[in-house]
Formats: sequence, structure tokens, C-alpha cells
Amino acid sequence: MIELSDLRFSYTEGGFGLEIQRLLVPAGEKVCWVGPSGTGKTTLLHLVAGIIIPDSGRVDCCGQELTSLGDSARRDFRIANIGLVFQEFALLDYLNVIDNILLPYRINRSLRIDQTARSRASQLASAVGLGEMLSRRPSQLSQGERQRVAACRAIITEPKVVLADEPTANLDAENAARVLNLLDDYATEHHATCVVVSHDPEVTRRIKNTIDVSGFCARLQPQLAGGDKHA
Amino acid sequence: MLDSLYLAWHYLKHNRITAAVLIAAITLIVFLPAALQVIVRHAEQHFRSRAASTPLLVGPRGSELELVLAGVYFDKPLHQVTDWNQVERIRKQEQGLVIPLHIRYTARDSPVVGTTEDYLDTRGLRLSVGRRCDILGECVVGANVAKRLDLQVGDKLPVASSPAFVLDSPPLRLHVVGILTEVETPDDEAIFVDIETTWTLEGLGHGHAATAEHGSREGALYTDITEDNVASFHFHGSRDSFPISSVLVFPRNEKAQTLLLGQYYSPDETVQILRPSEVIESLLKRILMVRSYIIAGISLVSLVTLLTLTLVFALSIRLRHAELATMTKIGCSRSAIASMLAVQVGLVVACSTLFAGILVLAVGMFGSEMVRLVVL
Repeated sequence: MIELSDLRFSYTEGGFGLEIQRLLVPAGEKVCWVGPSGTGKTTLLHLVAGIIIPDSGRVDCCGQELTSLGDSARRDFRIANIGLVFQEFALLDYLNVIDNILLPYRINRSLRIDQTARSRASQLASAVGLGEMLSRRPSQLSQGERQRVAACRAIITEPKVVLADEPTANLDAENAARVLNLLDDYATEHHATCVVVSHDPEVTRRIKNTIDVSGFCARLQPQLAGGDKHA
Repeated sequence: MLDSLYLAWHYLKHNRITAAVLIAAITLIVFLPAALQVIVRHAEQHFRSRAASTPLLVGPRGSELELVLAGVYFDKPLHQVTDWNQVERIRKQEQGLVIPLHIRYTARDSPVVGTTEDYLDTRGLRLSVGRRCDILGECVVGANVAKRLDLQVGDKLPVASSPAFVLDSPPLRLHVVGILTEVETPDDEAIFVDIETTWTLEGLGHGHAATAEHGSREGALYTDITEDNVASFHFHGSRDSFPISSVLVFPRNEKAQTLLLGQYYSPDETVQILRPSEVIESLLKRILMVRSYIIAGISLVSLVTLLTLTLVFALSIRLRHAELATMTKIGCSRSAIASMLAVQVGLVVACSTLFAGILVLAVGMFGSEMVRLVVL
């Protein structure tokens, strides 16, 4: 479950911020957050993931109140509970497909690569048509293939929550469908909560539960603006 | 740590050209001053040990350094010479072993050293093959000369022309009768003959048919000295005035050394006596000073290069900002990122140090040879 309550957040440099009385995403729900550009959709995802912290209010995710955690604990929480898919894929160009999928295991001491993780990575890659491309580097992949690798990386640790930021923005219809299928299947199988931020009508058609988050956007006076609170 | 190593290794492998340039730069920074130290140390040892094994040197007045370089290291021959009289003068005092040297000629770019058998004994020069010189015109060659010129016992070695010979008198050919074992000193690069052979090279002695007149057709000079014609060789003039380049003196004891040193202070003296080790120490002091300047220069360049490399690393981190931000978003700790970057720098530095170490080791192994080939 994701729950944001009495939340206020603002960036230092701009008069932009978020004010949320209450936003709830029940556990196992698939939700699409929509809204015009610049209305704080990505910021909202970062708040839910604990990448940034609000000026005030609560962020509860998977039974954990994130604002009470320190940077390090939030990172550990993230690696254990949240899978992130970025609009620009954010793959490491010096690692091949299998190593990119296994990246979460290499960057946090709480996870260890074992045979199970390797097998799971191979299975995930095969499931999205990348079984023959495990040793290829991102530069040798198409846009769609890259986003599939990024999606596999997001779910390799079997997170309870998947947060996808415009996952289909750079993809054609076919590749967009494959990525959405992957996330959809994972969320269904694992009863995971899935939040997708998107402008894509195809996404909003597939995910019935759509929330317009533009109403949370608040144009603040500069003197009221707080600081960035990045993890 | 293993994961950091894995990521760092793949990053460097992917950016192999950048990594190679960094490694090459750091290798040079480490290698150059170290190699310079090693080479200079070898050169110092080389110069010092040779000078230390030559207690006193007597030779014509002039540059002390040139006299030592010529008489001890067989460097460029001196233009000035002294005469045999100086040898007799020291011998009469019976203060030690006196060894004359005549070094004015070369054969195939190797110095021809006219001396006595005492030289070979004193320097501990042993024959690897053949025998010592018995008659005029024979020579024993240093190990490197034999190697370089592919000489065997029985070969003939023409000596560069002497200005004393007339046009129709070709230069004398030396007969190789022995090859010395390698001792890693300038003796390896020399050709040793009896001092009378060098006087023959000077044109002070020659051989021709016994019945012939000097200058007659029948009286053509021999260019090869053999057992058949050696008896016809004879010298013209007083032996006391025959030229020598310098005299090595091995005094019996300290007192004998002091007595000998005291004899050459007069301003009327045409010769000087000196302790080669003192001359070499003075030279080395200058070399050390120059080395200090060079090392200071290299250190400065190294410092600038290190700063540049630091900047390169810093810029590469900046270029990787998006990548590192992604890692942080996924859940990578700051320490893991720092560890990965540190391992990456460590790998580059370790590779550079390894390569530099191998190079310095090679210089250490072959430094002595390099010094002899390049410096001497």
C-alpha cells in the first residue's frame, strides 16, 4: 500500500511544489498517474520511492513511514521494496544485458548475486525476447529492447511496488505493449502495487485506475520554498 | 568489494583507450624518476668501482678529468702524451707496481691499449680462450670486442692508420691470440697489446728484409708481424723518449702513495699525479647535482600530470553523473559508489605501478649494460 497524507513539498529554486491531503494506492493495485508536464508526476514518484523527502507530512509505503528513515535506510528500503523504471532507460553502457538486469545486486550490500538471481535474470530476459541478447551491450540494442532490459532490472529483486516513469514514452506501440505486459504480468503474479506515470493513451486505456495528479501541484511564493531533500 | 571491482573493471574495459592513456601517463610518472635513479646509481657504481681500483694515475698536465677518463675508462684518447722516462722515474723509487699505458689508436672503433702483462694481472683479466701476447703485433681482445666484431683466435685486426706511416705503408694488422672473459668494465671494450706494439703503430719501430735499405723497394715495411719476420723489427730513437699516454701506479702502501703524490707539485712538472677516485667523486657530485635538477623537473611535471589526471578523474565522474544518479535512485549507497570509483582509480594506479615496476626492474637488470653502452 502507498499512502501520502498532509504532504507538502517544494523545490528550492522554483516556486513549484506539491500539496497533498491524502493519496492512497492500495496494495496490489495498478494505477496510472496522469497530468500535464510540470505538474509534479515524477516528483511524486520520487517521494513515494524515498528518493526525496517532503517538507512535511507522511509517506507510507509497504507499511514503512519513509520520512522517519535516514538516507541509508531509505536506500535499503528502496532496493528491497521498490522497482524503478525510468523514461530514459538509464542502463549502464559498459555492462551487458544480463549484468544490467542484475545491477541492483551489485550496488547494495543487502543483496547477493547467487545462482537463483542469475537464473531469474535469464528467465526474465527470455520472457521479454532478450534471451539471445544477454551478452549484448545497450548500444547494440533498440530502444524497445533497452526499455525491456530496464523493466527486467526493476523487477529482478521482486519488489512489492513498481514505479514506472513514462516507461513507453520513447517506444513504438509494439514495444510499449511488451513493456506494459511485463509490468502487468509481474504485478498480477506477485500481487505487487504498480504505479505508472504516463501521457500515453494506450497506457491509460490498459490501466483503468487513472488518477490526475495535477491537482496536487501548488505554485508557491518563492519565500515559502524549502530545500531539495534528495536521498 | 568484489562487486565494486566487477563494475570498475567493466567500466575500464569499456573505456579501454581512456584507461590505457591514464595507465601510460601514470606509468611514465612513476617510471621516469625511478629509472633515472637506477641508471644514475649504476653509473655511479660503475665509475666508482673502476676509479677505486686505480689508486694513482700519472699523465700529462691538463684536464684531470680527461686524463682519468682516458687512462681509467679508455674514453677518447688524449692528444698530449708523456714519455717512457716517467715510467722509469717511478720504477726507480720502487714504491709500487708501475703500469704504462699507451692509448692513441683504435681498431674497428675499439681502443688499442698498449701496456704490460702486469695490467692484465692487476685487473684480474682472465683469458676465456687463447693465450697472452708473446711477440709484437699480437693482441688479446676484450669480451665485448670479440662479440661485437665476431673475432676468433687467429683473426687479423687492422688498426686505424697512423699518421706516422707513409702512404705506401699500410697499417699494421694485429693478430688475435686471446679473448678475455667478460668483467663488465671498460676492459671488455678494449684490445690489449704490448706497449712496444703501439710504438710500432706510432712508426717508431718497424720490420723489413734484413738486407734492404730503408726506403728501398726491397725494404717495404711488413704489415703483418709473424714469427718469421719478428726478428727484423727494430726501433729507432731513444726508448726514454717514446710516448706513453699515462702510467697506472699501485703503491705498496699509504706511505709510498704519499711520497709519490708529493713529487708532482712543482710548477715545472710536465706531468701530474692524481687519485682517480677523487676526480670521479668530483664529477659525480656534479652529476648528482644535475640529477637533482632533472628529478626536480620530472617531479614538477609529474605533479602537473597528476593534477591533470585528477581533473580527468573528476571530469569522468561528472560525465557519469546520470549513471551514478541512477544507481543512487535504485538504492546504491554512497559508500558503494565511492568504493567503485576508488577501485577504478586503484586499478589504474595498480596497473601503472605494475608496469612501471616491471620497467624499473628491467632497467635494474640491464642498467649496468645500458650504462656501459650509453654512458661509457
